[in-house]
Amino acid sequence: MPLILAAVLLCGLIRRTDVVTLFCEGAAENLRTAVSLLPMLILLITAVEMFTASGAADALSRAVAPLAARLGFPAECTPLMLVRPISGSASLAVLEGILSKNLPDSFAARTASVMMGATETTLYTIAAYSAAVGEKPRPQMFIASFAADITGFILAPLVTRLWFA
Amino acid sequence: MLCFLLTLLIISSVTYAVSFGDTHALSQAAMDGGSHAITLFLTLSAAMALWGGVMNIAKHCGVTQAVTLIVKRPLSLLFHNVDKSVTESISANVTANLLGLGNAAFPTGIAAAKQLSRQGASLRTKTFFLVLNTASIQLIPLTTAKMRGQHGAADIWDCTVPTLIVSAGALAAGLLTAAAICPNKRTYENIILPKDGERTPDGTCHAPDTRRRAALRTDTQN
Repeated sequence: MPLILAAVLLCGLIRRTDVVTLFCEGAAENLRTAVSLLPMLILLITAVEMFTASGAADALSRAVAPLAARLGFPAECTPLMLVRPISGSASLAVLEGILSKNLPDSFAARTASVMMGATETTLYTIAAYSAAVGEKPRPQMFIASFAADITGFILAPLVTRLWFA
Repeated sequence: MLCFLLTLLIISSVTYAVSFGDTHALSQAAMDGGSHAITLFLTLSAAMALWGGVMNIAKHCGVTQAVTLIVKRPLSLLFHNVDKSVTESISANVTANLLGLGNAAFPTGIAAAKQLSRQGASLRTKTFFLVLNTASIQLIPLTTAKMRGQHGAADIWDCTVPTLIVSAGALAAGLLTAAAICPNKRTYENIILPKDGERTPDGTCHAPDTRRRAALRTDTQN
């Protein structure tokens, strides 16, 4: 990360661009995006924390634990798997919950991080593109996208286990 | 969908807490959730702002264009039957996704998707493009790294390589599935139909008029 920063700044200087102004423009744009996410994030994190505090999340994890254990899948990550295709902010909230309940270097937290980084908000993306282009999404599009997601969810614990073994 | 999910979450937690659990912990969580959201927002917005700034410099000094040139070659293998201008748009979109430029990925993606639709690209081509956007291909998992750091992970970047491996696997599975289930035939929605006996640009359709009309109808309905 520091390397990228240095390399890009150096490249900007060599090309004689106004590095500071450009940086501020880009940073301001992303800050605006972040601010626009905030109200949603407050609602979602409240909901997820209520779900966790009530004990319902543990009950859900316990319910799927036998199946999850057979697949080598950490039960704590099940809620993340369920919300990941639907909403980016909601999965951020769930990941935050997993990271604060488990040690960040635990198997569950690492698997959750890998799942989060390796998959996308599939349904949202399909809906947004279809709406923008004005074509109805075809069933094949859903099947292919979900094939990618499911592969990601299955591979995440496997690869995490092998990598940190 | 999200409204339904949220309501379900809150109702089920209230029900569960009242019947089995800890109502005190529940009301505490309801009060604390917002401030935790603000903490998370502060963590993430700092990283997002830094990244946005650096990438804006990269855009103006030719770094993103260089990445676009690199991704163009493998992409033109995947999208060999579309026009050059479409490959350009797709490359710009893939570059934005690779570099984690959420703000740039969507508009470039829309532009590419519109071009594909206007050219009557095959369902397979369209699905390939969609899978490139629904499978996360971001090279640097910035958000998760930042969140792991906030919770005291020893090495915040240690999940980067596993993430990339899983991303690649998921992308491959998506593309292979698309190749297996999508017909590689052009959709005749927005292109001009040839007369009887003439061939469509990809040379597949030269059926008599009635059959072609029927094919057109089923094609647009599905």
